Amino acid sequence: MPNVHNEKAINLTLSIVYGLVVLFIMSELTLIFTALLALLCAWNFTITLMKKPKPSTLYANILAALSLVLLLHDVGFGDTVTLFVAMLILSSLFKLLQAKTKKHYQTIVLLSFFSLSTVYLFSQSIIATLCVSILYVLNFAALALIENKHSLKIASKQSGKMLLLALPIAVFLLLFLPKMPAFWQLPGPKLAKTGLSESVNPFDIAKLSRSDELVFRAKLSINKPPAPPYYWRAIIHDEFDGTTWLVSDLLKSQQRNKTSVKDAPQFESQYNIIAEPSSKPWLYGIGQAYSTNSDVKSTEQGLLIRKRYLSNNINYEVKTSSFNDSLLNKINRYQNLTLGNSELNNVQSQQLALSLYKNSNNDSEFLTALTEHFSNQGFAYTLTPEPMTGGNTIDEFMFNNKRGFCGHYASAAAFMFRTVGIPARVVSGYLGGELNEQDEYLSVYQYDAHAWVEVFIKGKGWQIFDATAVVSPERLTGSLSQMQSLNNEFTNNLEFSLLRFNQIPGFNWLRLNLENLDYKWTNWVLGFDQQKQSSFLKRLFGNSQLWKISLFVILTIIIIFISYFVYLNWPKKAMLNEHLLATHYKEIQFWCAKNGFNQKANLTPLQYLNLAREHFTEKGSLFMQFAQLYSDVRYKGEEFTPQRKNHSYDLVKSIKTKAKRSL
Amino acid sequence: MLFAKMRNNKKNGFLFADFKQALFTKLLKNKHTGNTLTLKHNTIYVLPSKMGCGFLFVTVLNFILGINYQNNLILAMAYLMLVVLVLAILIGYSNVKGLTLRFKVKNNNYSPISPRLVFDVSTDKLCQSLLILYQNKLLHHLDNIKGKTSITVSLPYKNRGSYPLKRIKLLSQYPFGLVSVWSYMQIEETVFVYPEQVNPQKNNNLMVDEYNGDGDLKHPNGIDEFDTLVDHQHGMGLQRVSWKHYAKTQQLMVKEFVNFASTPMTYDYSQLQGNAETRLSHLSYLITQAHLHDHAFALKLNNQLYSMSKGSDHFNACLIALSRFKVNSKNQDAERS
Repeated sequence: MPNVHNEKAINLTLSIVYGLVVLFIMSELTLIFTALLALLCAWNFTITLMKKPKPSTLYANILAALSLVLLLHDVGFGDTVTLFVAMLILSSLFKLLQAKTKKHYQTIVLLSFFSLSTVYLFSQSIIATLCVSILYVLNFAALALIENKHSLKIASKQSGKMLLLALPIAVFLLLFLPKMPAFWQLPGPKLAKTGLSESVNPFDIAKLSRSDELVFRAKLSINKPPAPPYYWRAIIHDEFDGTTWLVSDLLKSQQRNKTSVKDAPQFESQYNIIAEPSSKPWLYGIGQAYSTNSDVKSTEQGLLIRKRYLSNNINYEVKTSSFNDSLLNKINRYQNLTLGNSELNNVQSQQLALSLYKNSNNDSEFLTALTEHFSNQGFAYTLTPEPMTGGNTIDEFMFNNKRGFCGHYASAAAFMFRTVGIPARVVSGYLGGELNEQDEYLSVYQYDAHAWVEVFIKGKGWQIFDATAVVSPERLTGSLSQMQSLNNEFTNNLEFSLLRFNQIPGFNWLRLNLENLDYKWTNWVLGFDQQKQSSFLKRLFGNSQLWKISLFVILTIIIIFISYFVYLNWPKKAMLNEHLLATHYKEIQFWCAKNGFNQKANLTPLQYLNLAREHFTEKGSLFMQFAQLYSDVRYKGEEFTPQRKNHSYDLVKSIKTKAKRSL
Repeated sequence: MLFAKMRNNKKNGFLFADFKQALFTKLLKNKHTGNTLTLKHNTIYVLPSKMGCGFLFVTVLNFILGINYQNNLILAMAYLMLVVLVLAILIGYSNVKGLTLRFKVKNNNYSPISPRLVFDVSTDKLCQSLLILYQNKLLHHLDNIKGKTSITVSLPYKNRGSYPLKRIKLLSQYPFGLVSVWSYMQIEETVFVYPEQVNPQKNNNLMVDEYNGDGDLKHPNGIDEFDTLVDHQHGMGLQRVSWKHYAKTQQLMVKEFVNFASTPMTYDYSQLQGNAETRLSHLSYLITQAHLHDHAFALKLNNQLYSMSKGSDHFNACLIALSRFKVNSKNQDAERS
């Protein structure tokens, strides 16, 4: 059985590597299971530090079986990717707990090369990438430790150097090797993320907790940017059950069909969206949106839906045209008018709607009347409304509370439109976004989530009706984070983040810069897809044939490897064995020669230093000290201690620097 | 049927081993034979190790993962691992290149101590983590070689015999254990494991270690001349009990023999008791003692006779003869006679 040289260092390193991996995928696992994994890491770490024996095989196997049961119970079979990753990490940790031979450790290190990659399935931020890169260095160091008798420090240094050398080549390959399409469809991990939901029921929410998580970025085109306000549509809710707005089965089936809309030449605006990973299929667009991206489905209602739920960023181009103003067909009309059983409740609101309708001549006038009602009757925007329950929540909101956030207004307004026979639907999505002026892109965060109403006005088609905009017009422009009046309320509702310190200029500057860096990372690194690659290659090579590019890539790689090989085998100078003092002595000689003190070469160092002391009188003591040190170490054979080493460095430095001052 | 098949398989196995041997000899030619080996392009072999294959497999897995999830970071990691593998090959090769291994001397030993080989290792640059293997057994692990060092390795032979040296393998899996860089060294030498030294009188428990000051000539615990009778003590064997004495006095007495140092001795295999290995061990002890005391001795091993002589050459020749001695042939000889 081959011995393992650095068992302690390897164990500690691998425990740390796995500990950090667990930290990164923590958000995807339950608390108990995370705690279990963390405990296993800590256990191995402690028994290594305390030099206690590893647990017996039987004991560890029983524990492993129990943990597996917990894993299956906790994660379940629903999310295969998370299950797989959790299983991989669990088994590696148990293997580590029992590892004794060289082969065991090699297997674990190999497994962790794969485990480290799976971290990227869940998180691809810059910080995650940096951390995982460090873990890669450690992992390679562990690999080197298994093979050699080095210390961890030397091994990490070596592997860091090696990776630094390999990284540019890998990046080169990534840039130039043609990207392949996915071989087969793999299930994406279900990300635990906050976001929009298929049902909108604002009334029982007391506090709207919002995160500052990025949802997407929109790069506005220079030619035809969309005009603000930006209503980013994501979901249409067309069914009302009395309290909640839902997505009807009919609409779902309609969205399954691909739209017949051709790439219309008369689009009004154009923009690119880089959406962050999400476990939900909804994408974002303004108005009647259409995308040519092969991974994006455009629906008849102008919504965009992601075809594959991958845990990746997606970058797609969107063209927006105005809504069709043609008539609604019967089904669509019914779909957006029916109130079902909810007609029995909220009688006051229905009466209000009917009376307003009676006073107006047509649908447009009713719309104006309703807008005026919201602006004149003392409605207010708040993120902390009073929760309402019961069947008549809309009445209660319209006549008693009059305080709410977008969901309240959208629900109430859509209900009233439908009461008077105007087709209406609630749309949820995002409003606005934070404009980065340097790079002309909008960042839209979770806290920008919004709900509004779309009403169908005869002759005009679908129109946006946003009562929130009437109540709080500032909300229309920019992001929620930029609104002064709501700032306190807003930051209180926000989970901890840099945004809390928005008011401090330094912090805001830092936050915006980090934001910008992240945008570039997402756009250029994560979003570097086939399309971007081909345009990149085209820019570099013009319209050359593929084989020319391939030849270039292969030749470059070969040249790099050959030159590295030549470098490795280049005869090295025997300078390495020279004593440090001798090097320093040469440095001093060099300096003296430069400062006009030339002596013949056939002098011993001590003679030379003596002469130099007489020549540079103001630094005489320094030369004397160096001469003393030199004779002590080189002639009398005294030990060259670290103190002496430092002293020598200092002397050389001060001999040189004093000269500079005198100049 | 099954038996026949198995035998066939075994035969095939042997055939394959033979074939492998032949192939090796043919491929390697004689460039590895000799007492000095300098590692250079035609004597270094490089292949990914088992670990390296596993590493490559994980690289491919990462690549597939990266492609299917369209994940640039995972893809970059896959490329990175591939590049590291290639770099490891270059570094591993350069690490051992230029290393010179010079065979200095062999030290034969008495069983159960293994024979040793002494080498000089020299290199003009740093060479790390070099293993010296013999028949897949690790002989020596050199962590850092800088300049010139001398190493002593003990071969895995413990039993009496003569062993022609097999191929010595030099292996380095530096830097990460991903690549095996190796070479062979074939030394045309034979090492001997001499029979273990066993005192023929050991079982009468009367070994006297200190030297008696009176009479240099008298060596107790000899086997040649009768000296005196002593009381039998518990634990002594019965071989040297004087039964004549016992019959008379009912008292167990043991006959003591001595060697007379000045007497040149002839040690004869056939005159000793015990099985073949025991006799050889006794002979080994006896001739070693004789050599240490600078006595002339002769050795008779069945048909072979090493005539009376002194000195290291004679002594070594006798020891080698003992190591080489074939037990089976002796038995046949004994039967014939």
